[in-house]
Amino acid sequence: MFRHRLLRAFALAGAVSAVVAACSPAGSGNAGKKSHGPLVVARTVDLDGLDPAVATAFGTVQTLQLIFDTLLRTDADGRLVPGLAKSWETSKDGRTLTFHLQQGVRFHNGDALTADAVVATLDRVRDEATASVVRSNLLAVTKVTAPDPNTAVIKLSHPDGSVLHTLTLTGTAILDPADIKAGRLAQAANGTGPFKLAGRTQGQKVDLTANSAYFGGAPKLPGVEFRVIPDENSILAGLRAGSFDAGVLTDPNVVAQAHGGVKIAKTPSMAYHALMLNGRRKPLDRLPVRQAIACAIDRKQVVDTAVAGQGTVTGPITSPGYHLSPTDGLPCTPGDAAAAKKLLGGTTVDLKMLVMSGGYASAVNEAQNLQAQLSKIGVKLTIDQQPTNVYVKRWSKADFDVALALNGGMSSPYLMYARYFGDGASLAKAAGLDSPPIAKLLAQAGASTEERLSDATVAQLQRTMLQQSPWVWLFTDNNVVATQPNVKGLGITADNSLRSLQSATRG
Amino acid sequence: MTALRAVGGRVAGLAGTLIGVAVVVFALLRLLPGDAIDANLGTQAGLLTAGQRAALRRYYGIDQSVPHQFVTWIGQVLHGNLGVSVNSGTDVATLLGSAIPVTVELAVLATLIGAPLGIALGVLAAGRPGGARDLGVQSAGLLGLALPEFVLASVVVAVLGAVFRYFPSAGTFVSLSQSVGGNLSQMIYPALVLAVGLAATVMRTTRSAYLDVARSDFVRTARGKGLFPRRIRWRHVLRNSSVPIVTMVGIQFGYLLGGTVVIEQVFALPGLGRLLLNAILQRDYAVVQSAVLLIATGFVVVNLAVDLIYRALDPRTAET
Repeated sequence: MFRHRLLRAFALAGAVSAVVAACSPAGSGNAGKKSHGPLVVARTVDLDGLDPAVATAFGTVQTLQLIFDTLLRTDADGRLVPGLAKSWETSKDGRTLTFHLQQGVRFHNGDALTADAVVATLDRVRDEATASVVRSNLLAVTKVTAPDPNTAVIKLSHPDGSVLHTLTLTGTAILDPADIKAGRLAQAANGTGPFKLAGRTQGQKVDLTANSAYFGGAPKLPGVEFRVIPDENSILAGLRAGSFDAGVLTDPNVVAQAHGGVKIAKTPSMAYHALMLNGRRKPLDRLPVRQAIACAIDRKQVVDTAVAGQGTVTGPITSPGYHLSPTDGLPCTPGDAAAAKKLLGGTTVDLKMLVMSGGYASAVNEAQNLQAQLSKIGVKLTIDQQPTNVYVKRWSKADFDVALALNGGMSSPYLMYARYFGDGASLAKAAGLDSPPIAKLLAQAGASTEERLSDATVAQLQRTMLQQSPWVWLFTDNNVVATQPNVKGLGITADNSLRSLQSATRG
Repeated sequence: MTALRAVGGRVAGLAGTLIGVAVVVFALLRLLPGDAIDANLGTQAGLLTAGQRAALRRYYGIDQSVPHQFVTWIGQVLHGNLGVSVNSGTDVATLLGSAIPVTVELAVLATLIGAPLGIALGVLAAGRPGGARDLGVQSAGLLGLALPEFVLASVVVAVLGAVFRYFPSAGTFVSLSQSVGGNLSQMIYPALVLAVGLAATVMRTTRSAYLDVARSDFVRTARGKGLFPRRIRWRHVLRNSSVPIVTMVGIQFGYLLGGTVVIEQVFALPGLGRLLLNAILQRDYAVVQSAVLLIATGFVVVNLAVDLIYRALDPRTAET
């Protein structure tokens, strides 16, 4: 009798859940099948602030890139292309940069864009009180002026071609001077970009609507809705269920499963995985020891074991448009344990490897693979796993023998490494090595007025960096966006931008 | 009267507990290495000049001495002001106000499903100890306890997506007031996953408590008097085994109120656990401090409620 009742209770519970499941609300399913409404993009991160000058988090930058515009942009090959400036020129002495603004551009609140906005924005970024990390790239700037409403002029203390590349970063996005004056940048989100901020629910979603008056052409989509889904497996499940139109994926193991009914667009990231060697500590102060470590590591094996093959072996330069051999400059073939052992001179080395836990998915897998590979030449790595905050503190002070890192890349190779290895570099301590040959090449690159450093200059820089082996460069991840088959034209760039949403369509 | 005195005593104890929690959580957060600047900027924090760092310390409110920060915070809390989340710029009260209903509902649903199921299975297993039914239920219970929540949750999400083309919560949470059906369709699966572990724990407690009581003299007497086995089972044995069962359900419910981080992550539910986890990672002190205080209050209140239920179930406890 009791058993019968129990069975009945189970049956009833099953029926109730089936009914509840059947009443799934429209909002939770089948975004991909709707042809109206915003394009729903799922990602693990949220928008955590509205001020571009201080935006550093990946989700925040990715969102603000759609709301704001910069003076210049880069194309897929890292070349400078017009943004809010339709053209620009550099004076012969390389100390004056003049920008001619696009005509008829308006901020989302209706205010017209003038050169005063450029002056106010760049002055604010250069102000220490703003605490923008981009400021360190603008130290050569002495003055920003607006000779007329459509022209902005930047004066430099010395020629510095990298300033132009800095003007492509979201940290220098042009703001409405009225917002700066009123101190409302944390609330305003008043840009000139292709989408306007329509609303946000903290930790859940960000709503953007199309800016029909966008100077680059109105977006074809009515809007974009970013949804915060903290787990990437859930993003994939939601894509398969048709709940999202697109999903941004960063975990290589999830990317490896993303097939069947889901379209994948991927671009090698500019961010790179590297094993940073502290060349100020023994025995890493000796070049042959650093080179032995660099030679012993088979990068492809790291990619295959740590990120399920979802990565690209790289050398120091990850800026788009430069196609260089990732290991040309090393004194031996990577993975050649015998040659590496010879460089080490038969000695054994014990090192502690600082590894970030919880920061990115592949860190521990990479660490274990490197540990196994280096043990073959007598380098014993002990993994020292630390949470992000502890890692950052110790990384900044170079409190490590070796550190496994995922560092950000930039479209300018000079900007990418001058902060580590240049003279007076702000991250010189963390870099772990003062290398005069690298610093010399960076100084030459910095003084160049070329908008894009020549292939020869960059190749020489990369060869020298590999020869000096301050670090071991391993691989870059793929930036991945997965979409429903009916979404066309949505791609992701090397710097994780989704600006292609401006021209993307949904069939 | 005794009950009132007991409640009064507990409320006084609650204040003491909360002051203790406030001091501990405040101190622990400051003892953690790294501050909000490192947490938010990561390795880019190295690019800041001393002046920029000072400006950010002012912005995050960590430029004052720790005792000064503590006194300011407690003063604000006592005035009903929980502060502002420095990362989102939103009132902490607003953030907590939107997260609490999600977690409370999830905890209630999981308990409503898991507790009766656990009790029924416990009684079923204890009916014939050592028999096939007992073995089956105990094995299922062990499996329920051993199966990590994140595995079960991930499997549920993956199967629903791949096989049924259904994703329970696509990131936009539907509250009960917006749509009962919509809300339950989002909450039922995470609640079921949570209920598995809860039911297994309650089943084991019920089984052992039931067996203890079933061997008592008064049960033998009842049987000897010729009472129906069902009446003995439910009215006498189960009722007298209820104190440890209620305790266990109370403890489990309290834990669930503390936030079900993994489940909220996998099912994308904007509850207290997710809010707290993100706030800890970003060193958003105001949010962590207030959320922990709130969780502690919830835990103490649930314990108080459990004590009062004891009195109703077993009047002897009121005398001690």
